Amino acid sequence: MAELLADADSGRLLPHFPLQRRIAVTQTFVHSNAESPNVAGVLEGDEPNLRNEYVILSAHLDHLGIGAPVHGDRIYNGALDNVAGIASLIEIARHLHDSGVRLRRSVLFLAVTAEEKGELGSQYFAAHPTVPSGGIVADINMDMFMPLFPLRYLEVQGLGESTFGASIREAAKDEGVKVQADKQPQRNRFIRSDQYSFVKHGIPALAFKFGYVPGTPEEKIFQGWLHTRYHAPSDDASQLVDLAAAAHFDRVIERLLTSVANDPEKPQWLPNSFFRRFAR
Amino acid sequence: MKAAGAVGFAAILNPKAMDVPWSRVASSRGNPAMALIDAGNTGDKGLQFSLTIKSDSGQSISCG
Repeated sequence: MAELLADADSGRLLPHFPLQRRIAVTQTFVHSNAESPNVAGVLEGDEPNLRNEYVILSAHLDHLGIGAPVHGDRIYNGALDNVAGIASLIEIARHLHDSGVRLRRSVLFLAVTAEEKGELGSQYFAAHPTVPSGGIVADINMDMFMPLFPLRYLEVQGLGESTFGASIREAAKDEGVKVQADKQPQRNRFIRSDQYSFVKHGIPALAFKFGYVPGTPEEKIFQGWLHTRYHAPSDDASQLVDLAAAAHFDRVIERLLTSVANDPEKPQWLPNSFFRRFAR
Repeated sequence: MKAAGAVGFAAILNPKAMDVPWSRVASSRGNPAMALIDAGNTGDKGLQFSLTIKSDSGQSISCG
């Protein structure tokens, strides 16, 4: 087992071999049907030949609900996973609307359901969009972006996969934020949230986490949160969220959204991207 | 996977790649699973079984 884990840690291909044990399992299934809606709103673009193209700003609206008690608490609140993402979605939509800005492309604000059950809401939307599917040019996804300390670094998943990477670098720079690539690519976070539902349909996408320099107190806060609060009832409103940093994040994302919506060119997969294979 | 004859999958967790402690992984085992009725665009259609194994126990499963 130690050998297998060492291979996995070093990125080597794992060996194939017959397992030495058999496992017999008896399961009882209780099936029922459930409905859970996605929620979408559109800010129509202003340019006649681009307004039928859409930039999606997405966040998931679900969390885990009621589950196994931890310290007597069974309510899994999901304050950062992903109430914060939905709050940013609403706030950016409100700000764009109130500012009266006219964008060239349309923006689709999309709150998707059942991310925690396997990105089901976004999978459904990507397969059955409420706008012409060929018109979706990009997805900017906000899921558990972790506003726990000032936003000096922004870690971007998908940074090196498409021309979208240059767009977020520019937007972050304008807000005084340095962009970092995914520090733990072995965790495959780029394919572990709703953006991947769109990637599989050939649509370039990005996702984000607050970044940090390894060895700093920010890393300790970030990793400590994962260990104690991720998918636990304590991801609740009592934790110390840096609201000014969350607002700073919103400004970066709004800049990105605005630049992509106004860019005459659609985001494109880079020639060496693994995900280019999904392009249509 | 279903096309290859699989009814499900078993995974041994790598402790270095776990976002949450094993205690929270284990406590979520009773959570209901969901799948799209219209699952034509997913690769796991028809899979009805998943098993998550703590790495400490992986030795006995993989090597006897």
